[in-house]
Amino acid sequence: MHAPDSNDGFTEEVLGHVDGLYGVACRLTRNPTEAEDLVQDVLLRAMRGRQTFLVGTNLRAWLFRILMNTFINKYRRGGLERSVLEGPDADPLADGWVSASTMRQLRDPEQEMLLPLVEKEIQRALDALPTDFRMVVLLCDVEEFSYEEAARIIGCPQGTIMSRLHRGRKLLQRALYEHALAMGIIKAESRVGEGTSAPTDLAAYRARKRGVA
Amino acid sequence: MTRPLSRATSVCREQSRLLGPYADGELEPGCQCALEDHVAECSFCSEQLGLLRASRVSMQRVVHAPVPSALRARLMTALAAEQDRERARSDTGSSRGKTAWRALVPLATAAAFALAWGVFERRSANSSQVNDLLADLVAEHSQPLPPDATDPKAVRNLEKYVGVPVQAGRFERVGATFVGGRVLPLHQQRAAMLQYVVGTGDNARRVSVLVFDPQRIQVNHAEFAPRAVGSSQVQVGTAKGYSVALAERAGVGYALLGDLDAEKSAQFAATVYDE
Repeated sequence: MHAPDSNDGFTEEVLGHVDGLYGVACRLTRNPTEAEDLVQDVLLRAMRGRQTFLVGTNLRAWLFRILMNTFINKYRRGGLERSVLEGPDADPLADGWVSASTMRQLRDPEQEMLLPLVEKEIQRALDALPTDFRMVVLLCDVEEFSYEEAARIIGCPQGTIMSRLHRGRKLLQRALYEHALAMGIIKAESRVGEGTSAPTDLAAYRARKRGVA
Repeated sequence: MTRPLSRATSVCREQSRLLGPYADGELEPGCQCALEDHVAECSFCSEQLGLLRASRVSMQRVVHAPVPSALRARLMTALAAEQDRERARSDTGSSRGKTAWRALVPLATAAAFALAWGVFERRSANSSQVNDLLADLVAEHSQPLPPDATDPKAVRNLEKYVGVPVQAGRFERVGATFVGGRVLPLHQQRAAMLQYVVGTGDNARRVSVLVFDPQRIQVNHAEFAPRAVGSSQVQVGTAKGYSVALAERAGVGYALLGDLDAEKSAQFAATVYDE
């Protein structure tokens, strides 16, 4: 056995995407050991299937497609999550669920990111997302694939990508909001998405009736 | 810039589904202008957008973990091994005619050899007399590693590692199913281990066929009964309760190890012989 050929551009290029694949694999499997196995599986499949890869097309997108396919085939359970979550769009939170001032409090005023205390919650919130949503959020938010690329990677229509991304982000925001509330970073306030959603608790309902922000 | 609206309005609800695509740079130019006008006036939607972008940056920070160096090394090794396999395949392909010819002899020998093993009565050997190599072979059979290749055709590629032709015999007619093959490190050398299952359910019995270069790996046992089958010299016996048969033919060494009892062995071998 020897090190991969230094002349083999394909191998080198594939190895260049290992960091991204591993990070996403960790959040997909939620288990570092399984993530390692998954990444190795992906790389070997890529090597064996390299003849099918069209030179000049996007290698990174191709590798992530293999990653998602392998993950779906190997790890995911039945379609239970999908049937529950892609039923009627019973979003418990309207699109405007907190005030602008509350949203502002979740962000670091200096940097374009979340408050460190809220950021810690990101991983847990991501892990708690239903698999379909997590896959799309990882592809579009973390890896910054276009909707078209994400649709090709997962093998579904672009509309499905957009809908899952929207729902996934909303669920993440809610998790962050609840975490910030529990941490005392922000104060509870009424839901402000008037008219479209039922209030989540009596206090919120009363507060909203009184017109308290 | 003034942003008088700090709470969601009906316009915000209409626009909010577009905020994501806008932040992702996926909005059509027409919609983009209308949304930008709204966001400029609405602190609620402006904050939504800010939260979307901040969440994305934070998510990237959280998810992008450097690959552990141990994993990187493991991946390099796996890719190198895959390249070796590719080379082996291409080498085999370029000398296909030669390989096919060479594979005939071991296959025939394996069949004759199974016959010898089945029909001759067992001779037991004390475990203390079993040499280390044989003990290792028995251990590999009794606690087999999972096969690397399950396609009988892929097994031919093991030749590259073993140094002698390897081919999975076709024993379906006797109810023997090929399970898979793998390279087996053996006393600083390598052998190919082909695994079969004879019978089904509770009656299923495993048979391992080891193929190796007899110049490098020498398995001999004085207590085993030497038998001549065709032009091959075969030694049969048992070791640690397993049936063992050793043979050498055309420069290729074979060891058959099985869980079969004498009757099953005979049946297995007889059918193979008929083939």
